[in-house]
Amino acid sequence: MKKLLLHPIMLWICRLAVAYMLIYAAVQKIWMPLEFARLLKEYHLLPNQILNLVAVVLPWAEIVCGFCFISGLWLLGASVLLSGMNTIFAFAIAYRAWLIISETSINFFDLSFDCGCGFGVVYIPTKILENLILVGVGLIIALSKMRVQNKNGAK
Amino acid sequence: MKLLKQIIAIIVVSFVCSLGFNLFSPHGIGIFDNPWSKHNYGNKTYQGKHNDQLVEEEPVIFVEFDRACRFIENQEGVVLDARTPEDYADGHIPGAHLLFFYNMNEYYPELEEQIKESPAILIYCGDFNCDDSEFLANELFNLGHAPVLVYKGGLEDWKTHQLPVEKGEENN
Repeated sequence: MKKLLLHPIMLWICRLAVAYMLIYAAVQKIWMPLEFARLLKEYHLLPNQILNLVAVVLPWAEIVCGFCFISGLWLLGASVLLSGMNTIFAFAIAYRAWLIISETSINFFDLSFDCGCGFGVVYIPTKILENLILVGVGLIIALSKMRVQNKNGAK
Repeated sequence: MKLLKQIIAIIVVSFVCSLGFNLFSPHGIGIFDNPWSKHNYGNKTYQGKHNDQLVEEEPVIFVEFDRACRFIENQEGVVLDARTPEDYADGHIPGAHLLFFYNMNEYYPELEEQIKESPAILIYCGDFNCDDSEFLANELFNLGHAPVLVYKGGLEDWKTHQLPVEKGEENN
């Protein structure tokens, strides 16, 4: 299993898939920054004064990370950022889901909303799972990169 | 150390690209604009054409159906619909102009002169749960337009009073 996960072809497929997802999602947000800021506001996690700034910068952080995954440049940093961002996203979505559930008493497994992820209205349990998988993928890519660096360092 | 440098490099490149893109994009927004804060206006109400002084300092004045109705009947100023073009085409308050909040760059220039010349502005969106009319009002106030009134009940409230709606796209 470990061999399969760290196989170079497998890692390449993961990198391309993650890059595609990041860039696709970011492009959707870049064209409607105000709409994205409004969606961020729904989380009640950021002060209103910085919503616009975050709405403008965040999609570009995803694009830059996406290009890092394709090109291999700053791959370690991009993988750690991917894991970090998706951990925060997963917690933020779970928190918003909890807010909605406590206000409306909707069942968690019936919950769908536009999380501002660039894919419109999504089924929330799957979305949180997807974020957690991306955290794992980011960590695997980071670990493999560190292994390669350690090997090169040892030589 | 290398990891930290890479993360900083990615963040710096992201900031430079995003701010540059936002500067030249037709959809660019004011980075530090804040149309999102809600204010507590208490019970202050807009009194009409002859008492504009009352509301000069207030960014947004909320009005009920009766006041909104009088505003429209007496043609006290321009009426703006903050919803999407599709919602607007499906039905809007007669005489209202479309100013979709999330694409102001497209709609605002066409209406700018009219809004400037108008003694007051009335804004509405979908219903009591919709905040876009308030966001648009904050934005217009920031652009120097006042007084700005928000009809919080929006089109749903208008319809519940069995008043007519106009259909079709904006044709200015």
